[in-house]
Amino acid sequence: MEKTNRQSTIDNRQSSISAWLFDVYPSECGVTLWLIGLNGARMHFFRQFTPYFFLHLNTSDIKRAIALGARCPIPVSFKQTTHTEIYSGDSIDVLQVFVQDPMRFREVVWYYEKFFPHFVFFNSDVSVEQQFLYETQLFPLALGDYEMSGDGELLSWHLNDSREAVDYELPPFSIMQIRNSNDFVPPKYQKFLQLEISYDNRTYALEQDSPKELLEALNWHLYRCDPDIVVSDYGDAVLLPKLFSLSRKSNIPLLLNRDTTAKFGTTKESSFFQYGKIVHKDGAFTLAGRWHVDAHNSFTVAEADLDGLFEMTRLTQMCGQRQGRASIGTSMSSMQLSWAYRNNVLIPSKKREPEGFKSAATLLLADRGGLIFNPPLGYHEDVAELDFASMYPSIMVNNNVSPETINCRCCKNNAVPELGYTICEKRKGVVPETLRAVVAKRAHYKQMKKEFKGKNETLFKRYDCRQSALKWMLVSCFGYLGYKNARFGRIEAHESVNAFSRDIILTAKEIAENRGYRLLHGIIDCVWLKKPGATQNDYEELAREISARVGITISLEGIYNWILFPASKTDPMITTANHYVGWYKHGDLKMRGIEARRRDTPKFIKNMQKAMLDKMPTAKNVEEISTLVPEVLEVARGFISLLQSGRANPMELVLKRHITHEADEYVNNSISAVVSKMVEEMEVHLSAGESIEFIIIDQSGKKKPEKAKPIALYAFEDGYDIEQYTELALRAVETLLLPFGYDVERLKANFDINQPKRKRLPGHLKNQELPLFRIDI
Amino acid sequence: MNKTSSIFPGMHHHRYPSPPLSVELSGDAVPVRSEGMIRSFAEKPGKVFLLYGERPIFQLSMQMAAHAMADGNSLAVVDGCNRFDVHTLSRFARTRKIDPNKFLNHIFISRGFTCYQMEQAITHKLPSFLSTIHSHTALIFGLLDTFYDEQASLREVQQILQRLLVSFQKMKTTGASLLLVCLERTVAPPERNQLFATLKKGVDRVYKLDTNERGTLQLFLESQQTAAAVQFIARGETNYGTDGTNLHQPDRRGIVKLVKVSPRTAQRRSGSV
Ligand SMILES: [Zn+2]
Repeated sequence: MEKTNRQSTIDNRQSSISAWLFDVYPSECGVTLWLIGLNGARMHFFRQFTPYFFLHLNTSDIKRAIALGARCPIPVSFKQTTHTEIYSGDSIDVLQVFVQDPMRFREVVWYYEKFFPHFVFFNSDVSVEQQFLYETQLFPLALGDYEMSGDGELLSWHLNDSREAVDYELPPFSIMQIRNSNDFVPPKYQKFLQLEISYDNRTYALEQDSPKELLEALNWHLYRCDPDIVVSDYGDAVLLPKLFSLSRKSNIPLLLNRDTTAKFGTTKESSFFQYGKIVHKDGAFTLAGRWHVDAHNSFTVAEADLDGLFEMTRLTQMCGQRQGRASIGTSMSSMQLSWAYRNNVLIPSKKREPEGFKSAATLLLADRGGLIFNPPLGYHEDVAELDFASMYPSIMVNNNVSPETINCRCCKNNAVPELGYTICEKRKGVVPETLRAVVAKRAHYKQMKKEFKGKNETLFKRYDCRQSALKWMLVSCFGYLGYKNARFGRIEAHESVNAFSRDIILTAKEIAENRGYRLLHGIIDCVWLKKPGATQNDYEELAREISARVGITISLEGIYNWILFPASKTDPMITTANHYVGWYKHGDLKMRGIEARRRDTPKFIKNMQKAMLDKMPTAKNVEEISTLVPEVLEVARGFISLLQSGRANPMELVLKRHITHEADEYVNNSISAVVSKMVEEMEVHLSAGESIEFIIIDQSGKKKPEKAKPIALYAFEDGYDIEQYTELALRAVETLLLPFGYDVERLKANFDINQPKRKRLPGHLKNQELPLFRIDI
Repeated sequence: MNKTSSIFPGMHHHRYPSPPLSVELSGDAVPVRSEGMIRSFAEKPGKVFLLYGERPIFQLSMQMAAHAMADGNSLAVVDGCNRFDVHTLSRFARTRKIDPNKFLNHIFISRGFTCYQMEQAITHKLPSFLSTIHSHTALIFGLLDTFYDEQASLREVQQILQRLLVSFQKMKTTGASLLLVCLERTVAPPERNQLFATLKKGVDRVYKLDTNERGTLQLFLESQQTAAAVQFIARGETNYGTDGTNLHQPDRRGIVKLVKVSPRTAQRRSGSV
């Protein structure tokens, strides 16, 4: 069906429309807003808006700032006013600087930064569209009645929607997908791209005989589909920049923008440290009046699909393109900034509040993390797992833990266990106030997901996406509190949450032990308990008691028929926290930290370990597992002999690693270094934090000096390093079967593998049959 | 013999040993005994020393701290390079037969993770905190480490350094002695290396722990400024902006009235929700 261009023309009368707010971006005298009407129309309007920031100055500097304003190349105006500063809670006098040209807001900030030190600036690093949204409390995808004048000005609105709503209607989005049809390797590695676009359930390959044909075909599809959202794979790094440069060279317009007066937005790629890890982010390529979402460059979309993105867009008030590329930290900051605007609170542009002085003795106490009780080695039966729901965020919400409430100046109460820090009783903190809604929303979505499971797949998936988008926010909020660049982070707040969590897990342990349970394993917010003969009801009763006592819900995740706590790979006598695998009585498999679950394991080995585990769900106890061992070994034998024959599918042997250096910075000859250099020779530049995928062809480098090949260069005749992959596979078998005495060496003997000897197991562990799995209660 | 033991031989059986360092000349820097530096730092009046060079500077600085704390005095540390390690400190106390608990309760620390936090900690929090604990001694670890982070512009970090140099001199006049401790390093954005040169000019004495001709570690007095010269450096280019935004000083606790933040409900404007 041929669609008409749905951009409506505007007559001269005032009119009103029921619509969703879709996109907002700054324009010369304010902001441009795009709406999607209930009637399907896509319209844009303008609204006057003057962005501003604040300067906190003494009287003579105020005069100077005003005088400087007269010399500023961009018109500015001033207002003296009083606001509350977030950390101190003090009312302070500030000079509000209004920037008359919203497109040049940053320039004015830079101008003043030349004359005044960082600590006089407040709210100066908030973008214009975010200022507008926070100020008006409008949010993307908000459904409401919008009133506009005949000349296209948005006059007023009335929302029938709220950011915290859990049941909301979404616009009937028109979505187009753009991708490279050869998705075997990322387009970065390819000289020629074959574009494919999909919409309305149909896919079209674009002819590429000439740039003219390609661009004209694309423009025609854009016209016909008129997408609201363009979803791409590698659109940011490769596809859209390539199309754009083609369009410039051939002088044929690229009609990706709905707003034809606006330019495309681009940012540079970057590598940076985050949570101690180097992370790479592609530059952005953004559109006006449409959202371009690069699924490959969006954490939210990768984790929670478009439904997750819509949820986050509404909640954080960031339009889809910004939200789609935002880190979780930026999303959290956005909610917190919105709170600050709602409450008229000033936010320093540069966070400068340092750690308060504490004695070295206190530091010793405060520096500890969450409590961990290491599990006993081997297989165990009838173990129950109880998990606290959103423990860290709940601690923050329940105890008002926030950077500005910890050790406030107005109270003294030693509220934080062990550390004796004070928590403000007079002010509500920005962190708990913004998290509260997230915790409540996620709990609701999880509930809905449960209700629709097996009944309505569409709704089940939608609620699952929404809850998982929020999950990442809740998972990260604690780490973010201690992160140096977090706008609302503070080390004392982070330490306090840890102190509360230790207190809670100790309380839970105490209650359980008083009821005759034994704690096998505990990590921060989960406990594994065992009591002979305890039923599901008993555990649920226990969970209720603990919840009531500590004020955070703990619930029974399930009872395992059996659970394995495998030996550490560095020391076979100890276990590692949060490494386990087991089958629940309710029929689900759960694993953490073992090969089948790890990102750095090749698919072949994951498949093998999973196939071995799939032999074991029927075992009701450890005794029954021991009878299954021969069968499980046979499964492994099948996989390993395929590997040994050289006929395993090399694509299942691909390893993925994040590179830590640029190719020319590597000084060693590690596999990552070798592969990075090979990629560089292909004239593909990789930055630190990007990942590489390769197949090991000769780990030792003796027969083949290149050791490994990136998949873009791999040919099937390259083969793979049988010895190395066999070793990886045997170690994965060992993870599951060591408690039955099968270490790598014994497995080799068992599978008739003749290979150079590996480090031997300590003597006392050798030839032990079934020694490690029993524990006495 | 490892490098550390060549500076502090025998420190396990006496608290403040005399390191048997011979006086050697090496370029412009004058070799000196660490004991002399330790003693002169603890003496009145206030002063600003910079100690830089090889890694054992941190151990040497703890020895200076221990000396300054000899009569039960307290001490403050501002740490900009995450170098402060309580466990090492505790071991350090034990080897010197000092009660570790007592020792740990008299050292106070504030860590800064950005240059803004470092500035705030040193210019605003440190002076009042020293008076709270009745101390005249502070150690500052890795003052410039956070300044090499490119999240702050070079112009901005230069200004922050200038303000810090001023506040060092201000603290000195109140009798405080500051020891700045940092590793010698060349940093990636090359223009940021000039920050360290500026810092060297803005302190009273610069000591360097370096390898001498015999391959052992040796302390050198690299430069000694006259008071007037330091004042001059510290005065440069600070003539802008206001320094009146101290919102966080803990000693204002008693006099400040809390202003309650009420949700903005009454303020309706056209188009509000
Ligand atoms: Zn308070």
